[in-house]
Amino acid sequence: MTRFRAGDDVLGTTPLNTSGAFAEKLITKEKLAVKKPASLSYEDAASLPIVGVTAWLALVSKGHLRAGQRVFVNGAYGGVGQAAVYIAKALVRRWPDALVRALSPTQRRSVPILSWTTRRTYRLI
Amino acid sequence: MFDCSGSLTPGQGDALVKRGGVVIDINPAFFKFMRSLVSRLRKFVFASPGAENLQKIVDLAASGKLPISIGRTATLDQAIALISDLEAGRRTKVRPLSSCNEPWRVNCGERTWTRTQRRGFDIEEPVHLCRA
Repeated sequence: MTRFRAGDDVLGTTPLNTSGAFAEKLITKEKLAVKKPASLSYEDAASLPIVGVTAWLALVSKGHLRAGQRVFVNGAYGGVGQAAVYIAKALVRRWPDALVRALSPTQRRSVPILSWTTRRTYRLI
Repeated sequence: MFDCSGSLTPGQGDALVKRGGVVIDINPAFFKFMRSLVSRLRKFVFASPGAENLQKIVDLAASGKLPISIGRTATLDQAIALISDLEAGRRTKVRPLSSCNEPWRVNCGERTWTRTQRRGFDIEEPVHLCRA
């Protein structure tokens, strides 16, 4: 182990074919963990890896998303969907062009960032 | 087009992309997977975290560009029952509550429900999730 020292706060996952993640202590591979920034809470850190990396792989590795492109996210209210929306926003930097599937009025009110983009979605679709 | 819920049929997905666009699915259903074998525009994605990708996600989150929305939290001894309920399709009904001194965390009976603040965006009224 070269990237961590004893006492470091880390976040990450276990290998997909390995059980034992629901425990107070677990064993994983070094490449599946990174240091946890102090600005991230433990709850955020625990929620981040699967949804974040899934969305990142989809948009960047598989979709090759670039500035100027448009992306439609179906299921944008779920964990992966929300991560995809924010990653697209961070990468593309043209938020009005990001298409987000229409949500119910109740969902739109509870997710302010989506409330005005969905209006554009209605018009573009 | 990124189908995060895996609910769109191949035809619906294809209809949503322009020429040169790609359909990325999260649900490797059999008929979708078979179609991906003959279509270069259809791809599947699975969570396979590596340190490089994970670090980029963490950097985004640490800079506030990737806020995490947590619907609820449970203690470790409650996790198995909670996951079993979710996998069985028994989702807990929630309703919004307001007027709490601690905006983003409220104790509701024996469980604690949390809702993260979305950084950088003003929310007019705090919303709490609580068992209906």
